[in-house]
Amino acid sequence: MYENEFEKKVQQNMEGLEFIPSDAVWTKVVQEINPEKDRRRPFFWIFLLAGLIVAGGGLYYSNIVRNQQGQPEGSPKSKPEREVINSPDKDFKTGRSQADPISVPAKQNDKDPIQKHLLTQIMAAQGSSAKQVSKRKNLVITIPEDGHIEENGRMIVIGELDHSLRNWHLINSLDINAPNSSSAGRIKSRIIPYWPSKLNRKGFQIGFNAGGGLSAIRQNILSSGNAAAARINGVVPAYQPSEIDPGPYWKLGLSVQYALSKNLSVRLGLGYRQMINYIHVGAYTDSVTAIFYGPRNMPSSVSLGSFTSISGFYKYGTQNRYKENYNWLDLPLSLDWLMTRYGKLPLHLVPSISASYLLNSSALQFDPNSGIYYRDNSLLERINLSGSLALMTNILSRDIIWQFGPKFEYGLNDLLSKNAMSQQRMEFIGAELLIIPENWLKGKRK
Amino acid sequence: MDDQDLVERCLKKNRAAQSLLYERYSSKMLGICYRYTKSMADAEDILQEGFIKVFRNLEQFKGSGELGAWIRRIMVNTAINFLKQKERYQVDLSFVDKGLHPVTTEENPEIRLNTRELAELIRQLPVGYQTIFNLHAVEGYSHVEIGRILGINEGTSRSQYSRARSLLISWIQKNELENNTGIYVRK
Repeated sequence: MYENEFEKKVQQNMEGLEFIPSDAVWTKVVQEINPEKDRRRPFFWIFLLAGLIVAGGGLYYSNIVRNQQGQPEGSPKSKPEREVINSPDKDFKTGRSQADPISVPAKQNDKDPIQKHLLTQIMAAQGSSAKQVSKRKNLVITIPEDGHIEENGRMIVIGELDHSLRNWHLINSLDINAPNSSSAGRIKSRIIPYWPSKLNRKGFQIGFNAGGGLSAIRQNILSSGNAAAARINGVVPAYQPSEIDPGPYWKLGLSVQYALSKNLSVRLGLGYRQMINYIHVGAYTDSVTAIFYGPRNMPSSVSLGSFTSISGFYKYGTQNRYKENYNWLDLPLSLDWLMTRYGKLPLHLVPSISASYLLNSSALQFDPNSGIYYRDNSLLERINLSGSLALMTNILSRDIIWQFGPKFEYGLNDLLSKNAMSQQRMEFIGAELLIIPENWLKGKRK
Repeated sequence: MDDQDLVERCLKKNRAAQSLLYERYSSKMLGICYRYTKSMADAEDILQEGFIKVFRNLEQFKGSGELGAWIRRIMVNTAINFLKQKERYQVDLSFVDKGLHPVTTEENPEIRLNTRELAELIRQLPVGYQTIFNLHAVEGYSHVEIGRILGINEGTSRSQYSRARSLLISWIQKNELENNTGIYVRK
């Protein structure tokens, strides 16, 4: 027993000390005590999602690319989608009454309309069946037969969402016979993410990555050998190349990731990238002409250079749209910083540097003196460096970690060699998707 | 639903029952974890680890005692293990005399502080004092038991407790003086 009253008072006082834990605690407990079953997912869905992301990135980029004119900024805002929620006065115990639905504009209804919607489905499923399909969200919520418990007029309901949102764990409790009639049917719910512990692993992980969006080339015309010479002689080159229109790019690759700490991983990849741009040119001719190749910014009279014979070229003009194709082998090195560990959406900041080897290209070069466009891959640098920054988030399913988000990439060096008469730098804006099958290297899990 | 039914359902992996058990005890258990730590994040880590142990070892709950008391013991043990493993707590847990000498205090002061204020004062004690004070004054462990749990001898536990108690009482008295007179007294 206690020596005196002091300990007794302290103990009595401390018995009343309570705090409500954050949702993340229960999320991790659930994950640990109810390990998920392994499932295989067809890769079709992986590529479908990648396609959607690419399309989204393209749409975004199309609004900001400076070359695209005549396109009004933004699009007219559509009316807020409306959703139907049930009246909270519904008899949840029987689920028989059909209260009049209340139509609420989605944007004004709740800060989390998905949550509201899911709750509606849970409520509907109580009295009718164990399975409820939502037409609007195309979700399936399964309530197991033993998935609810009633106690003191409160019902705890566990709903499991379908695979598309399996990273959300749904916990609801609702008052069905509360003494205060105004609180009857009041829902206390939590939809909490499943992801934290899955991202807390250490060791190596292998993943697939895909990406796509729009690529652009910024060019800067330089005075070079013959152009400078022409200017000295009073013949200013009259020709300026047409703008290079942005085009799509896509990439696929493999990556190996190593977790340095809970929040920091380093990733090395190997991938293939195709990039397409468009340039407006004149008619094609088989004629032979000579182009002067010399050091940039040096008059031909003082520079050492040479004339190269070109057979076949496009004349100056804009009537034809020529597709320039670049194929690269990429070797990206990334740092993945998990900025937010808790919350509904984890956020990763992923700075990268990539060395790319040019496999082949159909790009055209421009001679500012004669105004012709011609092919000469010897003017292209074979090795290019680029830096990128991506902001990514996660969706976790039972067996795959999906990481995706927007990415911006900028060429760090000139795409063209020093003999070319212009400078070009690549820019990419799009979306990146990383897929890590969880069961690979399972033994390395934390 | 009584605890025994709840445990049986939990043993059948009934998620709703698991959720109910967690909801029933998590707030109180977080209060216990909070008393042993210096931050709420650490307290939640202990709570999480403790509940994982609870669910994984639920079949060991005999049903003869109270479920709450069984969970509480797990939480306290988890908290002690956490303190031993966590770097930032290890120095203070070495029970080196830090020159905190007992002050002359009233033996049984009137405690007018509310629960939260008193908990905050306990948490301001050095970790070693805090741990022994919690184990003895709140959980009711004897000094022999505390010695076994912490790997120290009974005498050390007793002397550390005495210092912790004196220190806490002096803080309580200063707090009450501040509350009564509005004069701030340095701890």
